[in-house]
Amino acid sequence: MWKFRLLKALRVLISLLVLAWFLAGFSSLAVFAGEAVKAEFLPSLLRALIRFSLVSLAFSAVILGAALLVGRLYCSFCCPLGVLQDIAARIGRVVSFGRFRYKTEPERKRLRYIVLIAVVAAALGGWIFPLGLLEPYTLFGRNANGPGQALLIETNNRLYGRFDSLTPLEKRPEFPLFPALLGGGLLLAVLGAAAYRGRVFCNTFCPAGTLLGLCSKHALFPVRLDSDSCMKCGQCLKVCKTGCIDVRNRTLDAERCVDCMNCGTVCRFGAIRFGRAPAAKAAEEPGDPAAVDAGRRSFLVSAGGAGIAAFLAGRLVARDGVKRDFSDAAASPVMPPGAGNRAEFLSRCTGCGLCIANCTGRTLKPAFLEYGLAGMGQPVLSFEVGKCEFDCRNCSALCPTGALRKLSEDEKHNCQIGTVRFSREHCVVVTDGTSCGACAEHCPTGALQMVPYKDHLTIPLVIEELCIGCGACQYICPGLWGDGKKAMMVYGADRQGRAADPHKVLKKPEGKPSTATEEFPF
Amino acid sequence: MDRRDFLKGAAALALTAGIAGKLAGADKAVPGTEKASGAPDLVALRGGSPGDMFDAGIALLGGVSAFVKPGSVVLVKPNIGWDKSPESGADTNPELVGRIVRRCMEAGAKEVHVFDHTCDNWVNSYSNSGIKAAVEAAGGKMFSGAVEADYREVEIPGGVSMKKAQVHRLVLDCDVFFNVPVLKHHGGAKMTCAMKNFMGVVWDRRIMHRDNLHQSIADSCLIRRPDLNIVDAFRVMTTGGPRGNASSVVKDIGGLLLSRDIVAVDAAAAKLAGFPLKPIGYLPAGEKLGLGTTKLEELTIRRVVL
Repeated sequence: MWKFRLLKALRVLISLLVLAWFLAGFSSLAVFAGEAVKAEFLPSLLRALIRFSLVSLAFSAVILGAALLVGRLYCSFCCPLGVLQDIAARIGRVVSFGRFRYKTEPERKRLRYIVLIAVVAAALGGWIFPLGLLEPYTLFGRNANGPGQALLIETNNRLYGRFDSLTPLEKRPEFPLFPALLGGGLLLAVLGAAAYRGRVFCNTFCPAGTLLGLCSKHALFPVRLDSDSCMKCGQCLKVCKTGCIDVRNRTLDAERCVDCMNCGTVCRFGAIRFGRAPAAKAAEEPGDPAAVDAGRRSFLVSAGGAGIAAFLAGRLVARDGVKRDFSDAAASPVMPPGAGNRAEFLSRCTGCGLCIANCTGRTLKPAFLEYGLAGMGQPVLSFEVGKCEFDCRNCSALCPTGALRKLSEDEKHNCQIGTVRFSREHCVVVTDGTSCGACAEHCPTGALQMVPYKDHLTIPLVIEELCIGCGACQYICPGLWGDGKKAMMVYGADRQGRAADPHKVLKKPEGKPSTATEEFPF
Repeated sequence: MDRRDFLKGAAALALTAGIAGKLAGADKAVPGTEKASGAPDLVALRGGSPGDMFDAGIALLGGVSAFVKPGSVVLVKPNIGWDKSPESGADTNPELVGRIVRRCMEAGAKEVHVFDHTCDNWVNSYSNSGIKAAVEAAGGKMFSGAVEADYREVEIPGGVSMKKAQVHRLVLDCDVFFNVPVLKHHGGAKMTCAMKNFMGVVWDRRIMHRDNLHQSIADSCLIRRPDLNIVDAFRVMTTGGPRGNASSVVKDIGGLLLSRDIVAVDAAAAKLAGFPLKPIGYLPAGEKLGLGTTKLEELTIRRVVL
């Protein structure tokens, strides 16, 4: 009992630290949390597959290994959504005065296998959104970053009005409503279910939970219920958040157990312990083998059907994201630096929003239909309140799934995420006959040069090979002509290339610089 | 003249100038500012470190205490527009800003505030320009210019293009206002210096670009007359400004200019950098608004080489 009490205390401590860690990471405070905020199970597994990252591979292997050894420690100790559910469950216990009770849950094996197969198949087909919607880190992230960070900014800035010593937070571009409602609604449903009956989500829709369960059911030293010492008092069931204990049959389903350690802290008979149950399997096999086979066959048929249907649906939706009309700036979305090729990026990003939360230039926001249906919730650049900061590489460094490749400083400086098109007739130099040059002023690469126009006026000239599409010019351009359109508009690249080296293209002025030779020329 | 002699002389001069100023009261000079009689209209220095040139220059204008009364709140407004290193010449020299802040604190200022409405991310610009570290080491406080809530709308009486603007509260609320720009080439306005530095105290700089840039720059200088303009001409980006790119040439001019006259100080700065005056449209516009004069020959100028 004391062993389990210790483990539970450890679990509460670690899980709260992990939650605080991830909340910091998703509140543009990744500077404190560091790159480790991207370390989560499924995203790391994706990153290992997409970028062949050994670090990510090792990290996901540790989590899978732990599941094979002991069980789903990850779900209780490290999953931010799991911790939130535990908090909701605790609140549910308190506010309902014990009316919300945990009970033995049905196994729901088929449901969760089919969900896992379907979301993976859709992702393989190129549509990763369903996986991103259910993946716990992503579901946590998109809410922490969306409504969570909005609340943080608002609260902080109100307090800043009173206390000078606080640091104000800059405003972000407007986030689209629909993806936010979808993510927010789902989170509320998950937390509501948790308050009512514990970790329902983790053993039904959570792909990470299902995958880890497949390991933990073969674990070497799982938490188990010793049927010889169990007195069927049912105390353990009262605290089991997953409902994986069946007191009547004296079983504990290691596949669904999240290793919260609660049961061990209340069992007075020492029936909860670690280790494999003694082999008494044969007697437990239910019914006649023919019925089992029939059940298995019907499951395989439905799972296979769901998988194929999801794969085809994925292909269909993904095609929509790739073959859009990109002839107009509004329909040429700009992907974050490191995204590479559009089809690849759309099929790899789960939309957790860690990049969005840590965008120094305040340009990233979740897409609605900019990339087509396939890319909903994935990061897209908008230049309403900022530009892609030249020296910032937060998004590419932090991407948990590797949908964004980690760029070196040089690679970032010439990563061509788009190119600008200058519409001369809408430039204030032409329309008003006055000086401007705000675009060239902000251009970090020198892709915009002011050349003589008339009188003393100068007008921008675009050197396209130098343009990296950072949007500094579009952001600052005062030449509005309605609909958010400006004289400078960035068109996102389909496939991110490299801009030319400014030192090779731009010439320093010939001869002596124009400075005066006298000490004081006045 | 060696440096020690010069500083002694300057201090003595400052003392007499200060006393004479007290006795004679303010004479003509730029409206809205007082000027110790006998003090020059413009001080130009070359050849020292930015901090030492400031000490020598301010001594000729009566010392910092002629501007900063004990207990007053001082605003030092440098140009921290870009997330660049001090070597690039894109932002005001951090040593200069730090020295000004320290001298203000020594003169008994209650607080010295420093901010800019930056173009690049403000947190990175503040730290990578070296200004944050210099200001905090000298006892000053850095403030953000990045949120709209800090700006209040004010009328600009006399403004031609820009008749009102949202202005940062620190500019409106301080007792003493030091305008501390860096002299640079500027693709749009041709030169950025003291007058153009006012773009960093208003919230919406796009409006200024939209409504006749040069006139708007001149209008913005009516928001509040700086008690002193201190121009950093130490490292001067003579081309490819204001952010700087592969075509930029940075000249070590090693200069510093001080004047209450914002137009004159800009005209002198342009000459120092070798920029032709004619295309800098905000200079005549400022002259027309009564902000100062481009006729440097009519001013008393002290030229000092350290």
